[in-house]
Amino acid sequence: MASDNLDDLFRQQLGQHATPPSPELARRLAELAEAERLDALFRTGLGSHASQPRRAVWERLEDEHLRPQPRRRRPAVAWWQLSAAAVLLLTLLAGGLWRGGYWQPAGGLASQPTGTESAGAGRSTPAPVAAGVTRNPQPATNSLAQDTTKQGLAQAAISPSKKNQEIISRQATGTPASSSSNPIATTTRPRRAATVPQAAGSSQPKPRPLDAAAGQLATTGRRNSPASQPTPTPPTVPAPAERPSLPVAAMTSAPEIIEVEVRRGNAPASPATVSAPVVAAVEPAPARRPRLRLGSLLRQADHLVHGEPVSLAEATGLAETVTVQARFGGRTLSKTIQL
Amino acid sequence: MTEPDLIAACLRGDPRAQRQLYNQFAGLMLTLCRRYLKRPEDAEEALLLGFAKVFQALPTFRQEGSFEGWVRRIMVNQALMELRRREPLHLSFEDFAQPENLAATPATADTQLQADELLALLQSLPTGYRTVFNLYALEGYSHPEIAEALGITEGTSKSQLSKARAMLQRRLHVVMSA
Repeated sequence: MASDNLDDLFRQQLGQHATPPSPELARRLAELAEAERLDALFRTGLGSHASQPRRAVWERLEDEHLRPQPRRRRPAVAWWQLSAAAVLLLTLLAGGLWRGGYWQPAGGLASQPTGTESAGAGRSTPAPVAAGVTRNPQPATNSLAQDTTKQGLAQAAISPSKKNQEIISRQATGTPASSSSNPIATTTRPRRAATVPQAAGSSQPKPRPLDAAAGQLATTGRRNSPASQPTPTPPTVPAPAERPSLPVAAMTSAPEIIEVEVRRGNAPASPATVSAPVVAAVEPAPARRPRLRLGSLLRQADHLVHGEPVSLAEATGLAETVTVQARFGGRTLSKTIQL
Repeated sequence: MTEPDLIAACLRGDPRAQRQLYNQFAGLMLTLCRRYLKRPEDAEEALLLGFAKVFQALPTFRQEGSFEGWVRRIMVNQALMELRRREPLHLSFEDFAQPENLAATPATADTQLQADELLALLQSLPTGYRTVFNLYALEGYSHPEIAEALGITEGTSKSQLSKARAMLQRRLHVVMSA
């Protein structure tokens, strides 16, 4: 057979012949088509589908990754800083208040009469003797007054005309009206006063304990507002001779007038005229007890954290400066104490 | 703003551009993450960390291919990482080898199903099935790539894909006939 005929033979026999696929092949092809159809179903159904994320996702992305702010970590640090600052501040305040006699019990004040509370100035029936009041112009108390001026302790005799809000002084010989308006008569720190001997003003009709008597007479706590009871009659009780070393200038023996003024701030004291020869120790009588304010404490703690100056006076509500001025015998001594 | 301009602005640290890029892809990428992770919070976590990597690796994008494809690839990797943390992936590959799980009836479902229904069907699959099906059918990965990404053999990948399809077809039939 010629080659051309052979080619024609196969072309004619097989060129138009269709072989049916086997059942296995048919099944596999169907599966592929079905799989492709399934894939396409999910691809088209989910490929362009968008789910809206919550807003918090972007905020977290921004805060934690794109623009991490140290401010977010700072509260944890600031918490410890604030805690440490608060503890330190409270410790300082407690120490300062303790030293300043803020928490001194009322019984420890020398200016208190025995068995009576300190606010006795407003009472209608005056006590027999006020602890902080010197009524007796004895020679022994004159030297005591000089000691007082040397030590710079607060002592004041206030005329009734000096009743402004800043100056708080009291004169032992003042009228009952003045004493009622100014209940506090003596000021100093009781801790220091406790170390001094008894004052001459402790010469009272009945005996008194040594600590609560003259030794603490001129030195009183600032907050306990002891009051020396004014007496309508001039004092006549002489001071004992064995108490010459009274450190607090609560006593005046000579007819000289020793005047001590304690005022908030550092403004100079206005001259006072005292007619009575007796001078009483004086304390600035706060209109009300200065209270620790939480807001002020936190503010000061914040200042401390941020390196700003801390004001103890602001935190405690006290005056920042206290001026003590003493005048006697033509001499004037003044001292400004900054809290 | 064109895509290169948007990328350039993001590289400069422009917050508005970063927000715009996020808004442009966040929806799509969250759906992607939900296809891999069942719990919505896990998907959002993967989205968050994935975008963090996108912005971090943005200087390495060479603008040679599709930016969306580049972002999508990062998101897939992040979703897989999250999946390994949340779900024991290796266990799921051992399960569902019984013949009864194979497809018995061909799927007759059409594209009438909503995206949420499809997503629910996907999330109903075992983790291994779902992962391989996602990677192969929806992401276009090959079996060698899937095997490398998941740490399995190519045969396991093919098997998982076949079983996933069979299960999907059967469940689709149930859904459509309901």
